[in-house]
Amino acid sequence: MGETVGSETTESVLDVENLTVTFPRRRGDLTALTDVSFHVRPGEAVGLVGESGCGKSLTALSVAGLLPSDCRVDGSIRLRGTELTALSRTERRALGGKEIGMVFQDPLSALHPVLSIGDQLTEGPRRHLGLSRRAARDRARDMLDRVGIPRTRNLLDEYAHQLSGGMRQRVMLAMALICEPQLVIADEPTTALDVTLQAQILELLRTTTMDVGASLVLITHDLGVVSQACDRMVVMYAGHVVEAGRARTVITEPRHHYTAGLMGAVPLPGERRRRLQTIAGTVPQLDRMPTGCRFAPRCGSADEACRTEPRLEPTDEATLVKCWHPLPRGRAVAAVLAAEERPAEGVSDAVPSEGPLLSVRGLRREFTSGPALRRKVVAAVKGVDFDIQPGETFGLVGESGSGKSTVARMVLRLIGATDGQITFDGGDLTALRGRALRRKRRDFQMVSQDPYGALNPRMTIGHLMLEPFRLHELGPASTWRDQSVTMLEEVGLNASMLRRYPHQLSGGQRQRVAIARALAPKPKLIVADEAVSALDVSVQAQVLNMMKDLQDRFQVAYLFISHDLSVIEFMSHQIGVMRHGELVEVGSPTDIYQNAQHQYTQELLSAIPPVPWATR
Amino acid sequence: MGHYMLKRLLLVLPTLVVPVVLIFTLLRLAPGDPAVVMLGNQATADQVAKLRESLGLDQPIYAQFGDWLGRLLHLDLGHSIFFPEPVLSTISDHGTVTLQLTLLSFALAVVLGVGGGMLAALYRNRAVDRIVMVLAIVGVSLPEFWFGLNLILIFAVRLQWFPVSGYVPLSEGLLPSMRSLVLPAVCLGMIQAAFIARLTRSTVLDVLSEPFVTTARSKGLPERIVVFKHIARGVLVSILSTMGVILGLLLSGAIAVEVVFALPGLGRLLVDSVGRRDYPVIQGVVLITSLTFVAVNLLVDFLYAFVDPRVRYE
Repeated sequence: MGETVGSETTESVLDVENLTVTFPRRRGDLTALTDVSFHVRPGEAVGLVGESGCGKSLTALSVAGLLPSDCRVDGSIRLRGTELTALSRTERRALGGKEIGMVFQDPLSALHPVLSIGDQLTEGPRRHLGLSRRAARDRARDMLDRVGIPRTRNLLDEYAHQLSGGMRQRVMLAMALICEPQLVIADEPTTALDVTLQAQILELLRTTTMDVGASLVLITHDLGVVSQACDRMVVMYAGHVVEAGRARTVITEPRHHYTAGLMGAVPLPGERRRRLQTIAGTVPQLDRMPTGCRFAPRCGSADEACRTEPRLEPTDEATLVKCWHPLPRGRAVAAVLAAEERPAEGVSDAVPSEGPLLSVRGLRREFTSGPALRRKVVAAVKGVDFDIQPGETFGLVGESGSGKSTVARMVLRLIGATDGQITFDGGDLTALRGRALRRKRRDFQMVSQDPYGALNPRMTIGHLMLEPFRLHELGPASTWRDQSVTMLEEVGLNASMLRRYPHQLSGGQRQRVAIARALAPKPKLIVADEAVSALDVSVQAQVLNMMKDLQDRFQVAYLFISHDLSVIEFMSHQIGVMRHGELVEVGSPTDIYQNAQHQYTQELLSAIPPVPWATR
Repeated sequence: MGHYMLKRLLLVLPTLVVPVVLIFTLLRLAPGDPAVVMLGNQATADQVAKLRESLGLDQPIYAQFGDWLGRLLHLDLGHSIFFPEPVLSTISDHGTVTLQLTLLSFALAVVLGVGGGMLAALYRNRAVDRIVMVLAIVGVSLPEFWFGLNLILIFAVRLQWFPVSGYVPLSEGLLPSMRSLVLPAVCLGMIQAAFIARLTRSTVLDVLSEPFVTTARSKGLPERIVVFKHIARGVLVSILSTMGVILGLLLSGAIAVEVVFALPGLGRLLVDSVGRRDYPVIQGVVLITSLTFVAVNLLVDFLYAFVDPRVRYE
């Protein structure tokens, strides 16, 4: 297609050049974005990709003029030739909605809780297009119709909490498009949605945006999403653009080590015996930016040259790469996939000799809701049966509201079951009470989704690590500290962590601490509820690899809950698919992924974003 | 919605029973006897016993309570032991003053408190914020009686802008009546304004970081609309529930203020009646103020359903 990636002032809808954003701080300025340049042409969808803390959202906010007032913006942002940085704050603000529409990640919190949908939708057109209330409401109905909410479903007088997640995001999209802006910026628009909705909403975002004649900037951490929806992509790392080019080219032949690393970190279908490729370490913090190439400390190919900063330069492919040693053409994907093979798995696929560690039969949980006289009984879990073998992983997958977490909480005995049996380690778990239950708890531990919420912010890691030892009286007190350090080392941390507080750790480190705590009493089962969902993909890969290694070493079984099918496939020996409180299908990964019986499983599978760099 | 209101209504009765029963029994268990107070030290035991009998105080507590409840059903709160006047009319006389005082200070507290708190939050860490917050800290820590005395000293004695004390009834004109209440209302209201300002500031700061505020800004709405529509609605929902509590605090604060400013309000009546062991009046005042407090909070709950659709469709 012979396109160029350089800037084209006249043709572009959006031109960002050398955008640098600085937060003045007393102890020295923090530069969050450095020399970010890219452009968006009419009718084009450009993906901004990278992990959290790389500056994607900040770039979007800069373009939309929504940065906090105390930060400094250098460089140039031109919208259809108009220099936005030269406008006053008020002039700048007035372009929002009219020329630039925004779609945010979580539509529930991004929509106003106590203003009606109609009120929120009509604000833009009334202000920017000077429409009357009635005309604006008409236009709102039109727009809703275009995003797939028919006029018959009149929701202008409803409120955000009354709508489903997909509906809310459609409303959000309608709100961004209603004044027919030049540019739509969507910040992780599908991340908070269920997997079966993601593809739909993504497609809708793409088509309706093009439909009103707007260009699209799509911010995402998910390379699959980019390959599905974008023409070109810009990869950001630590406030820099490190690679930019045609989406298909970059995804099939990444030239930057970071891009390739991101791809290697995604679990691929049918690759569960491989270790996931990881990128060592984490994204640097703003006040600790490395000099020279910012990726060098995490890069396997870094050498002397990387101490000076490379420039973002075109390669033969019309791909721009900011690297002294770009990956060679054609070998890149191979390099990604030439990951280390895991040693034959410990217990893994071998047929277990003993009975199951955990056996759940007819497990049911009802919740009552509503007023006293018309009390409704809702079954969150409607009779679920499954077994977990010792040292194995049972993956529970399903969309939000399917009852996964309720099952987890019942297995952990955090809530009671309405009906059914839980047999754990040969005993009836539901019969245990008080002291006996507390004592048994050392054998089943949990790791929750939000490691920050799960660790008391006022306790040091040292104190947090002591807790399980004290609680379960694991050996003499004098050994507790050494034992904690050993556990921290098992999860790839060390004694230097002991005096720190949770907020001083990165998300991945916190989750490691949470896992170390759960492992400390040497439990037979760990229930991990969305344990990696809040982590960035490169960190997620580290944690997943580690959890597998720990399973091999400690023979611990996992009840691993996730909404992410590829993560579930990577981790599990057996998989259960949940929907509306029922386990619709149970089988080995091969059964599920190659020969799904239930229609819902097939639906879920077909909703996974494509992984174009996968070999099969 | 209907159920929500019904549930709140049904909770009113038990909420009222607690303070009423408590005050009834505590009064009678406390040392001191109205008959002794009335007759003075010279009275013989015989005279006291006779008076007790005529007042019905010789009956067991539960009988007295039953008697009182029975009359309550006919909206009869009994007669004051000391004055030949039904308790209800005494209360309604004094109640007008307190109502006027409370409403005036409530308005003052809300306007100053919400306004100050919003300003402080929107200009966070700037001079305005610092000033409002320092004032608020001072305000929260001021005792009413001390603040009141100083107000009198400055604005009534030195500047002579307002009367030193006393109350001008509404019947002598709205303005003079209001003028007599300015200092007491400022005294009572400023302290609550300080509390409301602190609360509003932290609520606004919470709301400011909500994604829906970013959404509103991204739509190109001028900041004025973002603040007064989107942010204010969000804040209102959060602080509305405390308004009922504030009114309760005002009612109890009124006791001190009415004493300091010599206003013939309910607080003053209560203090005097306690000194006289005037059981029927004390009981009546407690019942009426509890009823007011409960009614106001009920109103707040209903308003809540009105401003927050999430409650409405619960």
